[in-house]
Amino acid sequence: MSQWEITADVREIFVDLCATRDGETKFFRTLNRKDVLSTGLIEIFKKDELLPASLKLRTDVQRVFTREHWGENTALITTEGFEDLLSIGDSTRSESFGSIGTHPPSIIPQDQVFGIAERIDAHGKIVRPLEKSDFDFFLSKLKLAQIKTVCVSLINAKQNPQHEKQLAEWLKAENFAVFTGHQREGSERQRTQACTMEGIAKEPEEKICEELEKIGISQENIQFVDSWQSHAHSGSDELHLGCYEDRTTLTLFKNGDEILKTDLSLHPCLTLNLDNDIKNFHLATIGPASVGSEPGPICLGKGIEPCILDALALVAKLEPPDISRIKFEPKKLERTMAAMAKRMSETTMVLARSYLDMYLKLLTSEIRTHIPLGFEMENCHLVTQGPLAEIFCHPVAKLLNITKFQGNPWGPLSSSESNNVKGHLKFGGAIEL
Amino acid sequence: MSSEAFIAETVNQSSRKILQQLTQGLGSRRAAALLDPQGNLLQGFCTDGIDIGYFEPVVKNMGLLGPIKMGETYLCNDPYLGNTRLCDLVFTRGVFQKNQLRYLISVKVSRPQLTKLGFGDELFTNLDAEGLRIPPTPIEVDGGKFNPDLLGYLGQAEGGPAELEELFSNVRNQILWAEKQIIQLENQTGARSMGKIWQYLWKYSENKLKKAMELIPDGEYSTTETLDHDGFQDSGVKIKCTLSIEGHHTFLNFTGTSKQVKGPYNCTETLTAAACLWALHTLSRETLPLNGGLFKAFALEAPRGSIVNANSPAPVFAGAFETTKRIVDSVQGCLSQAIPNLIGSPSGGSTGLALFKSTDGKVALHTIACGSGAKPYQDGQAGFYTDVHNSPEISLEKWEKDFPLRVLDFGFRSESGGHGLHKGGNGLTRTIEFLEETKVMLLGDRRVNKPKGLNSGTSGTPADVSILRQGQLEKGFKGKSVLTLNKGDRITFSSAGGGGWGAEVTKDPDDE
Repeated sequence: MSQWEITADVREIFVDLCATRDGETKFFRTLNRKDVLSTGLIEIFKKDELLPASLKLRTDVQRVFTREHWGENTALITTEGFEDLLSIGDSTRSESFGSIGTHPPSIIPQDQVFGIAERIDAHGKIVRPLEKSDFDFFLSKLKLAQIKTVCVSLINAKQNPQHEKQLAEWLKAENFAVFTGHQREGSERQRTQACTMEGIAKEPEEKICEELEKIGISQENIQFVDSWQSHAHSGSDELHLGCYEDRTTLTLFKNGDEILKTDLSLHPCLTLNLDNDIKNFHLATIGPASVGSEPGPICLGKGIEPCILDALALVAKLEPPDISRIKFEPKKLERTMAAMAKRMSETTMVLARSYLDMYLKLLTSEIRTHIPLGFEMENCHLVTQGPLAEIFCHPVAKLLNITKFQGNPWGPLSSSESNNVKGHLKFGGAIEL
Repeated sequence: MSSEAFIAETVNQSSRKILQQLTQGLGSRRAAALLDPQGNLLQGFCTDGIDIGYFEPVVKNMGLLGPIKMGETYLCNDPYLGNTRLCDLVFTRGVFQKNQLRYLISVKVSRPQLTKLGFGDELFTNLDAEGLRIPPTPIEVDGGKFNPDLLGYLGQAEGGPAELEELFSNVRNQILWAEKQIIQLENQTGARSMGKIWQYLWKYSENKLKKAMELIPDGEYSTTETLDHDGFQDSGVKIKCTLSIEGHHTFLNFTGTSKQVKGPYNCTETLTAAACLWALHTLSRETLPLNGGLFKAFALEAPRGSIVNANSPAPVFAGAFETTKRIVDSVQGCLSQAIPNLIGSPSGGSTGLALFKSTDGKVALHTIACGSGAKPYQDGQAGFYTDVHNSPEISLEKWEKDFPLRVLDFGFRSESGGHGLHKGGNGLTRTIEFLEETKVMLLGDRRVNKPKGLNSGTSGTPADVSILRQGQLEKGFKGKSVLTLNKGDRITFSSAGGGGWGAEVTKDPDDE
């Protein structure tokens, strides 16, 4: 018998996995442990005795990095005088009427950011040449700090990548893994950010490979992917909505080409809030996110504040999942939502429906703002994917006036529409607005 | 009641997102508004809080033209008709359904290049020196073509009529896109419900801000802040604010403030109102729907002819960038007297404003973020645009591409935040080398007066400008003036650190 070919989506809460062999397809889902990215994945392999021939792996490196503080073996080389560029960010606060700003966590520790004497002007002319002697000085520092990966992002390198290429060559000769900024798009800060993210992903990817090698999966058979390809190009414009418990993604395809890929701000782990501290004027809001932290979602046995997923669990009748580590608490959920409903003089079900209705309207409103000119939304094909695909497909299509739609939970992983899923959160079907 | 609570938030968030998207690609200082046919602000979006104030007066002044016509887009940039400064162009267009005017959509586009014509050897002393003044004017003529007279007029300062035509076309397309989205939102909600929901949101914002201000005990609190100078007189320019609280009535009175000045530091009343709103809004725990209801939560007295409510044609260019920060500080100074344990220390308090003009007439605007003031519960943050300003740092590479300059370094200014139980945030420092002879108009404040520390916290280090001219270093340049720098000359802008908060806890060596 041939070996399994596996496609896996490793996220913060869950690992979704699709295994195929000789026309047979199996789906698995398990909880992922917070501190080790590959835990859930290995657990499935061991438990279900899958021996994969090849593994296509998608992970959310940016989020996992923030959680696990990777990057200690990664350094950044930039133009001298601009070592603080990443830490400064764009100097803005998240709200213009908010007084507190917070810089994003430093991707690379500041003492591992090195400025090298060189300069290229805005037209690509070399103003200050790169000296090998300067590089040799850095080399000793990099070795002393036990750096393995170096990201190189220089000012105006997009205009002339000569210095970045030269540095990459010198670094590779010293056996460093190198990532350069000129291959990325955007401003100097965006390029630096992108290439450092790529650099720090190297370390966790290697760790995963090491872990998987221990259970017999060789490194050559593991492929890391950024995102899933569209599997169902229909000839018309396509709108793909990734409907996960902890994120919602939007991908647009025009003539089969991906023209936009973005995370939407609306996702089911946003908390449900009710502001009723002023007489006669209440406001029901959703957010901020509760993912990966206490509180919420209550239906998965976490905390006391409900979130959209909890409202969904009530309305679409979530059944206990077949995952032993999930503590499913329907009674606690009912109690919490009932207390909230009482504050609004409503029934629990009306409250849950109202939040879902608002969530879906805001979600579709956000989708609309991303639609570029020339994309024919009314005639496009909507494909919802992910664990909540079936639930959201119909109402989203209705709100966007899309007539061609398809909800395929395992779309990103396989073209199969089988429902033979271990550990799948089972909902009672599509919700009606 | 409960359904209104949900629909109101849906309308609030959706309309805000539409306005946010509308401003995409129209520059980094983004602002847009949705208004009702009477010019009342229903929803606003702005990266700089200061921009929330002018949409209502600008649109209400459109009434001077007569009824808003279907298919026409109007332009206005006159600060004395509600706007902020001449280089901010405000475009407005009506949204019609069944031939009825339902809404007005306004969007701002900032064009510093418009200051080119009057940029001479001294600071602006008259509004007309700051650019070309445009009263409410339709940008289209018959058949939807752009008004050639307007293109020609503005083209004197911009890159010519063709470049402007592209700008006008982009703006019109963006507004048309937003118009479609707003109609969709209204269809989804129902036209009748929409009217009620807007009223609901207005009342919500007004009442919620009033509720937040209940924290302030009844009484009268007064403070005076000082702008370094206006570039012409040596003494500081005073901004006196008195906050009176009586039950739910909040009154901000600027009587006693210096008269309008010769330099471009004057503010119109709309700017003053926006700065006051921002300062009072800090009492709210969350961002409230940005609509006209917020302005109903307090009363304002800004004496005519003073720096906070200047008469035409007093120059205003730096007022929106620098004076508004002193207005915020003055209101927050009053709040810190009333509720000292809840109010943070002042920020670095300047955008480090400067204008550069090359010999071939290109104009670039310079700003730099500063340190934020320490809060009663946490340290201030380093390198942020603070209070009424929040537009992102521009790309250095783009700057170098568009103007003959080179940025030599850009980083944190260490140890510039004030000390205390909580430290003020550090400022930033940036050195620029000019590649051609350049006129530099220095307008940034806080180079004389330090950002104060509160509750025994120490002051932040003031801002600094150093110039390396023909090999000679001039440190601590205090002037607000126009300098001519030659090829190879350098200028270093260092922004101020925020004030510290609370007494510093010193370790007793015996405790070790």
